[in-house]
Amino acid sequence: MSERLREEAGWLWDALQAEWFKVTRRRMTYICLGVFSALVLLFYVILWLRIREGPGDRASEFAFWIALRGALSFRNVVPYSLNLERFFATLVCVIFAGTMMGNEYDWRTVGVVTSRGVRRWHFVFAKAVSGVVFTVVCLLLGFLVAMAASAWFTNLYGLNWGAFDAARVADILTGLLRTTFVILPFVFLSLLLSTVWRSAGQAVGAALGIFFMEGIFIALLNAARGWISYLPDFFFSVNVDAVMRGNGTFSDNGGGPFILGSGGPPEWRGLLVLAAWISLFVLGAFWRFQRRDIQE
Amino acid sequence: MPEFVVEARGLKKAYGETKAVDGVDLVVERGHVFGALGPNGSGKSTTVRMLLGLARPDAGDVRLFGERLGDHAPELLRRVGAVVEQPAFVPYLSGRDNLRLLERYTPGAGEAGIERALDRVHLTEAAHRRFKNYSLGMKQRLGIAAAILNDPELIILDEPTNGLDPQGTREIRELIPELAAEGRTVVLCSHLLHEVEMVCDAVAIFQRGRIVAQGQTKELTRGHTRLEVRVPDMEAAGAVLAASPWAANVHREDGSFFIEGAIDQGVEVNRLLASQGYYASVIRPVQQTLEEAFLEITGEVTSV
Repeated sequence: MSERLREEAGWLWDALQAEWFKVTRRRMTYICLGVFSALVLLFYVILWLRIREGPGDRASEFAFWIALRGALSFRNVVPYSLNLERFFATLVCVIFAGTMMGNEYDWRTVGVVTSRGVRRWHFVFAKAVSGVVFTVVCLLLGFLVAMAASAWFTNLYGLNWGAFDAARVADILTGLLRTTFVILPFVFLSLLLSTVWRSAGQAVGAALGIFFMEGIFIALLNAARGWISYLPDFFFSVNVDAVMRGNGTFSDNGGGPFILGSGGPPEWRGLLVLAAWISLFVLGAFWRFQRRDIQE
Repeated sequence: MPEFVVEARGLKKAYGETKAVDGVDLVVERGHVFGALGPNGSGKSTTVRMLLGLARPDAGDVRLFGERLGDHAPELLRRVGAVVEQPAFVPYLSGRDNLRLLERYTPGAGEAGIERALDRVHLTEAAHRRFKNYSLGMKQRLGIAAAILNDPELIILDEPTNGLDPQGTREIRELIPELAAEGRTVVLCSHLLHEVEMVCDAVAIFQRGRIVAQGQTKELTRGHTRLEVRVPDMEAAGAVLAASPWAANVHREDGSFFIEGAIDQGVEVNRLLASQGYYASVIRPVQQTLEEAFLEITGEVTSV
């Protein structure tokens, strides 16, 4: 490695270390992780309370109850908890990423750092890496909480524990990877918007707005005819579901919140479309930050 | 041949219809304490932002240490320490941790350097407190500590005494020549004329996005010197002066005559008055202050 490359790598490492210093001392980091873990646990508790009420009298209610109970069993901890986590983690990670970048503008610290000779792309790179690492940590923490809740629940009702072998571990790892991947478009969208608008609040609001409102647009577009009806194929949620099904579809009949049904586009297409969105948002954030005045 | 630490040629920057900087040429020699003087909105801070790579010029060229900023920005900026406008730091970190953070971005100073910088601005005792709980004066001090942290060759301070109490202001004014004495170049942006006059050996005067005067502080004020003459019988002495070779340059103000451009002719003026029987109680050269020079050059009074 040439001297120049070594120096560049050293500076990049410095930027990553500085970002780590900030993130680990930021109260928001721990609030986000705490809120996320609490939401996962709360959801398991709510579902457990629902199951305690019994299946009800009608056949459809019974099927729902069985599906829900099965979802909470340890055997289904990978597909179910990760799908549950996917929803809450997206909310938390969007807030984390948007404030991480937007606050630098709000506090005007971005100018202080770049005027000291830190390369602009190093600064954004460190932010992007922090966003990915935070997403992984968030999912791992949530998965631990879900595993504990699910184990307790499985033990209580004598449900299926599933296998304990290498294939299961591989399932967990690929499941976590898939889930991280489907959250990243929203993380980088938040990063891009906070760079464009130089504000945390607007970026987080817009990214969460897209996350929640997308379903309405998909429903409207699905009702249309012609080429417009194909547009939802490129929206996030359709492709997120396609990827998340790879973690295991365990109900063909629906059956409760966060239980995915079968159908939809194949996983590879979901991966491709989401990868395209991620690339677009990351490149957009880098380009915008690189080209534009830091302070006006 | 003087070595220029900062060279800006034909700098222009507009925000929409507003020309913030309109053709600024600026040179700062190594080792100087250079004052960028001008009212708020005159283009000083925008120029500084372009010098620090925070804003891109619409036209013109910036060189630091003889090299084009655009080509070598990170390498060159690591030799610069700056406080632009209000000091900006991470609010939830302490003063010391904010310096540690900057040290992680651009390593070199180490813990010892951090403590030295804090000590130099008398912030050691408050270094453990969160930045958001600092007073404006403490924030300014921390800004200066950050600027000097990495032992920079060039220090750019934008309104560094804003919010400081008189004691703090005096300490900063004493610190700036100390920094220069260590071989650093200091660029001080200020709208406080007496502040610039006290510490700067060279000055550029900004007005409406342009530099309207630039040079050594002494040169700028030397061109505006005059001789003050006070005589007990002002009326009669006035008639004598009106018939003298300096008649066109004499004017009366607050009980004194002021003769423009006659700073080294005190003896001749005294001799003339004495020959007519009028004896001066005061004859002295009056150096115009930078404030007076500034007002004369810019014609602006209100905002400075």
